[in-house]
Amino acid sequence: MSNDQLTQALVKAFSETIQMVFASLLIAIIIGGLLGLLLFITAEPLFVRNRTINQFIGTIVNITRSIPFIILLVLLLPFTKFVVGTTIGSTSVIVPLSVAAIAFFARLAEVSFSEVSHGVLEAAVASGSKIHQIIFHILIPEALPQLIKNVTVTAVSLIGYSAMAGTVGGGGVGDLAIRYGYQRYQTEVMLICVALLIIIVQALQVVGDYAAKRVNKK
Amino acid sequence: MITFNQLEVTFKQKGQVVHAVKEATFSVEKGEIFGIVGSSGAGKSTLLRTLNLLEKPTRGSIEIKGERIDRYTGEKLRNLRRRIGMIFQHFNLVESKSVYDNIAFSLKTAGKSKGEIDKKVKDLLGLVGLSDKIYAYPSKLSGGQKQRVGIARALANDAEIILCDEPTSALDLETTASILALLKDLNHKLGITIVLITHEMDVVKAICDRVAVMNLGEIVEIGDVYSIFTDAKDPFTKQLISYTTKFDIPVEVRNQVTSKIYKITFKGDQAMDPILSKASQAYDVQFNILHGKIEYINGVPLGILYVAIKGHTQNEGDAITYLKANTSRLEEVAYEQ
Repeated sequence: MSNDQLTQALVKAFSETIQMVFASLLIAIIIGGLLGLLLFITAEPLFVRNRTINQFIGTIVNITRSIPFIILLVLLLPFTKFVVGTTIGSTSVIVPLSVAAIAFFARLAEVSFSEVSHGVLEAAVASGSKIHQIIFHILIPEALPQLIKNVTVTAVSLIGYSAMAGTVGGGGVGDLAIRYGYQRYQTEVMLICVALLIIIVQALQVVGDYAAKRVNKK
Repeated sequence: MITFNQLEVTFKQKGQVVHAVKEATFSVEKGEIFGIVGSSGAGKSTLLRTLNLLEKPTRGSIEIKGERIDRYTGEKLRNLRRRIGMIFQHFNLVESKSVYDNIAFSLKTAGKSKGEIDKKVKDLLGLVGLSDKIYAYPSKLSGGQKQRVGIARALANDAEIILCDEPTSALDLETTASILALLKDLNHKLGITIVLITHEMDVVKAICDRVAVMNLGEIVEIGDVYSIFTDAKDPFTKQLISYTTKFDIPVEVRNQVTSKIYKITFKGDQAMDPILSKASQAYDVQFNILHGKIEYINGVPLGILYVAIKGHTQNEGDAITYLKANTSRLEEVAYEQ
């Protein structure tokens, strides 16, 4: 591969990775965050303790998390086809990536919520406020620094998962590294890809840490 | 104001049924500062939390202003909770919100307008003496300041009752005194009824009018603070107050004293009368005060002295008879040799 070709391939792979990771991250934050919130409030006597709902969601999350991503990718092919209309390309990879990230982030979000001081929530309940007011004005703001840190963790995991997108023609930096670096013995391509991945992960971590620090008033 | 009737709270913990509160029956009067005291695990926290239904009673009833509240739900319950403020041992302030927003939250959720909220928050901060910290975050405040914010927050919706859950247990002595003084002041100024739980008898002594003593889920004794300190009946109560009313005389001192040692208790006006001086002059005996203290409970003195008497045997007997008649209690203290 010439330098020009390499640059082109890297730019393309980079944009594919960014696209896959951020689209599925966004979906995971919304749906996974919501599931994490449900897991927390259905386990907490101060809110709406409900064992049935809690165990139902918990079991689904656990099952999803038990499946190795590469297998999940294959298992979800019919579902992906149903949602996107195709099973090939980086857009279709967003579906299994989102599913994996939703389950991953749901648990992390649950932990973030459960780390909020029980006493603070009790004080809010004792003030005569409604549950949704407590969730939006107390619980989420108090959990926010931890939630942001866990978004970063999820994003970094997603970059790892996205390397497997190549199996269905999804592309991305990880895929480029495997195809040229490993399968075609072009070690320098692999090294460049790995360096690029390191830079992406570092950048995510720095931004995530900064954001978490900004919202933390402790 | 508040009436508990045969109140029971039980819950299951690790497969075992725990009787946190057993058959509690008592009333709290309007404008009173009522203490509930006991060691940790006595059930006092559970009992306190039944008042705003953070704990649901298993049996029995609670009336506030003649209305049964123990089955309240939904908007009725939320309205009740707005009328009952609560402060906590660890303050429980929202770390992500400024002092202003901490207090404003329950006003906002009660549907008050921006203007009303602004005025109320500023008034409350003035009341608790913290106007200069209005936009500070809790992490920048000292323990005492945090509790002041907690008190302002508890009063936000014009509470008639304040529940205090170990309000000073995380504070140093000096700050404890200032927080207790503030609570007493609010009780006077606003006529707020205060129900307070604590494991410190000193807190009870400092501000409570009446006190209930709890042990293992049961209320073992109840009465005005002064008579609990002077005439405790229950052994558990006696043990609780022994810190205030019992003194240890060091062995070295005891060995030097050849005569008998008496413990004399003075109550109220007796403590103002120079009884020892009088006895000393009338019967030609000498008193050697070995230990003692005069406590003021709600402004009424309670004196406890350990004395040794020296004089002729006959005179000594007369002096003791005189002291018995003129103090509330006199007992010989026997020490094991």
